Parts: sequence; structure tokens; C-alpha cells
Amino acid sequence: MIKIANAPCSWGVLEFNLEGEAAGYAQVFDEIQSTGYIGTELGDWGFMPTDPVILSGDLHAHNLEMLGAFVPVDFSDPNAHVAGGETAIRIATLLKATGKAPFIVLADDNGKNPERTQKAGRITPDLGLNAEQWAVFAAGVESVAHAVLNATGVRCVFHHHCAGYVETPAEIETLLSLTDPHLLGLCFDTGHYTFGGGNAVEGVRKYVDRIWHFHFKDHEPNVAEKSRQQGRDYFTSVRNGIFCELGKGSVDFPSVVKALNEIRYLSWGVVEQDVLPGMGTPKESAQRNRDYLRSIGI
Amino acid sequence: MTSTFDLLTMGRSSLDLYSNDVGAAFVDIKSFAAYVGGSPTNIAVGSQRLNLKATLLTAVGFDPVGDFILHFLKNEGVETSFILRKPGTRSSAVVLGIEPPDKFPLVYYRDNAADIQLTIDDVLASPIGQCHAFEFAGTNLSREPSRSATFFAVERARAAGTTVFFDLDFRVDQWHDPRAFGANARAILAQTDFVFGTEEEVKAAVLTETSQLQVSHSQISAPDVQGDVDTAIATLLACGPKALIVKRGAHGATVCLPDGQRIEVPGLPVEVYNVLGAGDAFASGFIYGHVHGWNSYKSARMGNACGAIVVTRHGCANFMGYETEVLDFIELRGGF
Repeated sequence: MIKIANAPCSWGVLEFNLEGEAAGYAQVFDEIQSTGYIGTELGDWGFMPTDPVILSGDLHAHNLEMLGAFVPVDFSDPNAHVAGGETAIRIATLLKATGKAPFIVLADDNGKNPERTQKAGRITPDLGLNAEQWAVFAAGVESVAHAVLNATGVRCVFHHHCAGYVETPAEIETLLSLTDPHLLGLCFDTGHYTFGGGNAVEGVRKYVDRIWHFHFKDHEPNVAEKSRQQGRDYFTSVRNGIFCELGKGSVDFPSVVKALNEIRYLSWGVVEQDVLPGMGTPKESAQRNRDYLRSIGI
Repeated sequence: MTSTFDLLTMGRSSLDLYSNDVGAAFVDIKSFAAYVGGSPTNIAVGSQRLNLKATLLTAVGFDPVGDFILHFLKNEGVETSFILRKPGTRSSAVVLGIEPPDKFPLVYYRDNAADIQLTIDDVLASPIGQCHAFEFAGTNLSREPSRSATFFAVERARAAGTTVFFDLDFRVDQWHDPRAFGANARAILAQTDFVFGTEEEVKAAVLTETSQLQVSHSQISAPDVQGDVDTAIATLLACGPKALIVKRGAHGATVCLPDGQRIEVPGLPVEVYNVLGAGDAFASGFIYGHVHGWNSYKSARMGNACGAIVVTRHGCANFMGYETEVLDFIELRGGF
């Protein structure tokens, strides 16, 4: 059985420097536990205690397992790789001390490139990296993954993500083909894969040997359509609910779960229903998302 | 997948008596623990514990040892309705000593063994056409009628599109001539997809002089064989299988492909208690991966984990890991 976790981003704790009030850490822990989840990701550095003893105690008190942390790095800029590695190692050290087999969830510095942010959900090949840029990007991902593994023993997965350079199925394929399959796994995200133009069920079957970590996220097709029609940027799409509650969008979760079961993915599935700070009703959504996953057998 | 079973294994089954006096010389053993064994039987149990739907084509005699074997398999959930009872034969037995780190003597009691009496009719009555995977052991080929029944089974499996797994399973004292093992193995290789063997078994499969082979400390399952392993690998792959998986114990496994490519799959370090059964645990894990559409690397890594778990324990089939246990074991040791 897949183990179901949630993450602070579902409470508006996002990696972007956005205005608005996100929920506090104690409240998020209480609500993750009370709505039926058994694990959590770390969220932004400093959102949770950075002292491993305190954090371990709080996790234990809430029967939660620490599974990973999202670490964005501007991989297209070779000068950002070393600093990215140092940040990832600092976070991995905390994860290692507080989790059983946690992952560093690497991603591009999503939202940094104005054009990719503006055109999230409708990326065409001409907006992508060229061969030379891909080589830089992939080398950066590998160097950070190596550094983290060597320093801490923690493994890295890459999170494809809208508003970054690894959004579409073709871009995911390119990155995976350029990286060592034993060094770097894929954090498959159903919502981003769908908004990026893919079919999540096909994606699961395609990446049977690379998926080490998994995010459950739905995708609201009407919001996506409006984003396309009106030329909305990524953040406007999020604000308008592109990532809706599970079961209410276009991701075929029963088929996704069937595919995960067929490839015997029995590790963590993290519910991520990104909301902007102060937006929505996180606790109620978390409860409905958990209930929905139970209704389809996990 | 519409197969009735994920896996059918074919071959021997036995009562396995494992020394309870770990480290004691064989003559000093005071008591034995009673388990179930036999390579294809172990693999069926190991696969069933990984939540594959497994069934076993073997035979036992009309004796309490046969009851013991069937009772265990039923409790494990392995489908037993295709297992034969052969009049006038005996269920097999094996007696095993455990002297870590490197001496594991074993004695077969297989005169008049029921499982070597498997026939072509027994194969026809089995669900071999309704299985995702079929696995058999080299010892099946050591005597008639099991030998012809196994050749026949492989043909049926191929015709049904079933993936064929062959564990070389060289047990020297089951053959009238050790070179007959290789002659039979090479003849059936063309009809197989994946072949498992240790380096010694791979070399034994191309043996030309009996003087190249030595068994010390009655380690029937681990003889010393002279010869060049790379030449032997190339010779066996030239016979036609898709891949030869060389099991290297603590060092993991190497997946050897016909184009010369070698995929090294690291092992998962553990403290060895008893190596017997590690190879069968490996096969269970590898077949599990194959059935679920995994590539050879990931499948072999699963196999390595299954093997690592069983070598820390006393016996084999009775001590195979369960699905979530093995997957968690891998996650906690660096993942796939």
C-alpha cells in the first residue's frame, strides 16, 4: 500500500517569496496528522525547526515521518550549482537526522524565467533549452545529486515543474536521458505533468524504473483552458485554482493508482495541493483529499 | 496481464533439515530444524511472499514427508493443485550443515525421488499456458522422465508467450557425468529468456574435462570449477537467451547481454549467517521485477535484496522476505 503524506505547500508555504500569511508550523503539523496523513515534507527552510532534536521530537509526537524537502536551484546558470549543492547538503543533513529514507527533491528555480513563468501550461519547443544549455542544466543536477549523496547519503529526485525548464513530457525525457539513472530518480507529479501537456497514467508507466518519489496533485481543466485563452502566468493560474482538490480535476487518479499498483510503487505518495498564502481552506481540503484517496483504495 | 498465474515453477521439492548447531562440524550436529526446500519450490514460495500469484509443478510420494511439504505450501498460499503424488516413490530430503563463513555442506536424499518422475502428461495438466513467467531448474534435466517433461514444458511456455527463466542449478551428484549437465543446459538455453547462475555454475555449463571440477566439504551447491568465466558467459549467451544473470553473492549480480554489455548491480551488505537459499531468493526478486515491467537492473537489485535478507537467517523458503519488507529494506539502504 502506498504511504500517504502531505506537505506544507498545501497550507500556502511555498518556495516563492510571495506576500500573504501562510499557516504556522504547529498548526500545519496538527492538521496533517488530524486529517489522516503519516508523513510530511519539510517545506521552506526555517518553517519547521532546524534543530534535528526538536524537529524529531515534534515529528514523533505527531506520528509523522519526514520524507523530503523541495530544493530549487537555478540549474541553467552554472554559477548557481555550487551554492545549490551547499544549500541541498544543509537541508539533507537535517533530513538525514530526522527521516528514515528521505529525498532531496530538486527542481529548477521555478518562476525565475519570465517567459517560462508567463507561458506555463502552454510551452512550445522553441521556449526550451538548446543542447548546450541542457548539458549545463543536467551537469548541475548531477553535481548537486553527487554532492548530496557523498556528504549525507541522501538521494536526490528531480521534480518536473511548471514555470521552470523541465515542464513538458519531452523536457522530462531529455533531462532523464542526460542523467545517471542510479544517481537521480524522478519525483513524478500528476498535476504538473498534466498541466505540462502529459497524460499522468502514461507517464507512470513510462517511468517505471525512474520514479522514486510521487506527488498526488490534481489539475483543473477549465482553469487551464482559461489560462491558455487569457495568457495567464503560472501564479495567476495557481491563484485561480489550477491545482484543485483531488478527484475534482482531470487527472484520472483511479487509473494512476492502478498503474502504480501494477508497477508495485509502494513508497510515499505526497498530496500537494499548492495554494497561495492565505488562500483556500487547507485543513478541509487535506481532509477531503485524504478521503478521496481512501475512496480509490489507498 | 490476463494470466491466471504470475509464475509457474517446475522441479524438485524436499524436506530440508538444517543444522541447529551453527558453526559445528557436521559430525557434531545435535539437532536439525525441519523446513521445506528445493530450488523451484523456494522460488515459488519467495515469489508468493512478494505477492506474486505462484504455483508449483513438482511431485511428492505417498508419505508424511509429502504431507509436510504440501501443508507448508498451502499455508504459504502457493497453489498446490498441480502437485503430483507418485506411487512407489519417495518425497525428497536434504540435510544441511552450517559452518559460516564459507562451509555449507549438504547431502541429498533423492534416490527414487518423486519429483524426478514428472512427465509430459503432468506438464499438459498444468497451467503452463496461463502464466506470465515459467521457471525451472537445471537438476530437472538430470534424469528421465523429468528431463523430457522439462524440454516439453519450455516448448509449451514459448508457444504461449510466457517468459522462460532457467536457473542453472548445477548439483553435481545428481548427474552421472558432470559434463552431461552442460550438454543438456546448452541444448535448452535456446528456448529460454533469462538464465541465472553463479560463476561456478556458468563455468560448469561448458565443462569438457571432469578433472576441471572439484567439490570440497560436500558443498554440492558450490563446486570449484576451473576455466575462464568470460568465455563461458559468451558461450552460453551464444546459445540464445536474452540475458545471463551471474549471481555474485555479497558483490551483487551482473546482467550479461548477448551484445557483450554488462550491467553491474551492487549488492546490499549484510552479515552472512547462512548462504544456502540466497540464489533462490534472488530469482524470486528478479522474477517479481520482470512481472511488474521493471528493467533488468532494478529487477536484479530486488533480487539482491531478497538474497541479502535470506542470508541473515537460518533456512531458505521458510525465511524469504515479504514484499513491503524487501522494498523497505532497499529504501533504507540507498534505494534501487
